[in-house]
Amino acid sequence: MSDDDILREWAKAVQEVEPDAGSAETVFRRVKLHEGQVRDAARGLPFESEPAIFRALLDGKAKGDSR
Amino acid sequence: MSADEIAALSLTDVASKIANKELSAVEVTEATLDRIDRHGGTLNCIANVDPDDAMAQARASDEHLSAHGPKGPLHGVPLAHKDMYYRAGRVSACGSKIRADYVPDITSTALKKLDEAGALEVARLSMVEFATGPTGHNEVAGTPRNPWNTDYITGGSSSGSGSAVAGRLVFGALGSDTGGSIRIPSYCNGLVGMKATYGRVSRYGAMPLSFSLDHVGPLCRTVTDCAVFTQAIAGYDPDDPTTSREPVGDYLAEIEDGVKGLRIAVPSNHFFEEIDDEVRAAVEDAVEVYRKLGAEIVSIEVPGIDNGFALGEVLGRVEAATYHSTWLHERPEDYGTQTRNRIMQGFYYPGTRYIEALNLRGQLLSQFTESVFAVADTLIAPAVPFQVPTIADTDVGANQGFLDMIAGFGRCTRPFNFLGLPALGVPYGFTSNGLPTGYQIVGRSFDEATLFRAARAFERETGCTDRTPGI
Repeated sequence: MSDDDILREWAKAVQEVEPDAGSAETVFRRVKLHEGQVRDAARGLPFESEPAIFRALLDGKAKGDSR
Repeated sequence: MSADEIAALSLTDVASKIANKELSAVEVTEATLDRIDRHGGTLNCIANVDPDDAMAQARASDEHLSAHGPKGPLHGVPLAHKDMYYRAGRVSACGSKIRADYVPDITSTALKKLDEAGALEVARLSMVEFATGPTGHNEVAGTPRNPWNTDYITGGSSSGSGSAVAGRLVFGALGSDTGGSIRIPSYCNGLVGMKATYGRVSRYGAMPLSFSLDHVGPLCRTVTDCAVFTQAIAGYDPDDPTTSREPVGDYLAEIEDGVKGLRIAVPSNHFFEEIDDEVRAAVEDAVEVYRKLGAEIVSIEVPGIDNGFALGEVLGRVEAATYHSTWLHERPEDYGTQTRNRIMQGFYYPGTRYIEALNLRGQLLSQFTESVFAVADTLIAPAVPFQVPTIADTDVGANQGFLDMIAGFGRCTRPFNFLGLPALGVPYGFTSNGLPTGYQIVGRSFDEATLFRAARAFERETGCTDRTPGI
């Protein structure tokens, strides 16, 4: 099976969705592109990271704070 | 004054004339309804208008002014908004078939704040189905048209907002911005549009698309209009736990103070790659205007911005798929094909990738601020990297490659949704196809005031918001 076939079968079984025939290739290509970019970027994340720090960072970076 | 002369006034000018009783809210609303009647059909930007209700609001506004003075800075000014801001007891169709008859039982905080500022709401504006697309196309509710040339797109997803404000049908409008949906129609229609800092403007009672990326904000004709409008809707809201308690500055206090000494970064990577020559020239020329005005220009390589786009895509698609899951399973045929397939994309990302994207948000924000705001106060970048295209050329539905075309629109805007930083779309001139072009200026979190000050200096110098469409 190709990667696209695996994605298609997995989503049909688990998410119960399937893209329209004409758009499937594009959808799968973009998903694989983004998935790979996120995976690569996340390799540098510290073990202890968790999403909640984003909001605290944003609040802390009010005017004048460049750290 | 004729209806067209009244409609040509800026939001702040018309508010001033109403407050000074040079014009009444009734006169201004009659002019607005006249414009909507004459041009709303051509532009296809009006989802619904109730003239009787609009005139009743105007009469009440004039009576209040006589008895008590102005309610606020927008007293008596006719506005209209993207059809996704809930008002209790009134339909909010969200540009969709699925919610065509949806009547919410709450009123959005943004509308409540505009009511408190004295504004009138005279119509609901067209939008891309569920705010999902950047071109303005809507397969189920019809596609709005650009008032500068009706063969061209308005941009989206705040398509009707861009068209109606630029077409002088209303004096300002709420849009929403998840990947560029305020700044893209601002670019396409020659308007000023603010995507404020994540948490600056309440999203309570606004249709959600992606809770990590959704931002509420206005599209206006001038910088000062945009500052006044943003001021009216900004601030903490106990009904929206994502809003910040960070104090809201006075956006008008220093708006005329110029940019002398302001440090402006210009990115050397990502934003100027794959860009149209005329658009590049316009942005580079804008940078030179700022230099001439006394700003210090710094060229800088911005770290992680390529990832910012991809990470934003993952968050946006997964969250949209989650919101739409039930309808996508039960009523898939009621979506337009592009909307359905674009939202469906979100079902294919592994949960681990979604959490990693969330985790990376803080890290990329730190990288960005440490590199950019250590040496500059703002950053200027293209908003859309190409000239405004025609409706026909971008009518791709869900055909092969449609996501690649869509991605191009958000290439410069989406990273700032991911980072949560404020970004102001500013118009600047026209490309050879006769359509507007422009740029965006990005700031530190909660420093919207500096963006308004910079853009106002630019506007004063260039007259970039002076020209009006010929309709």
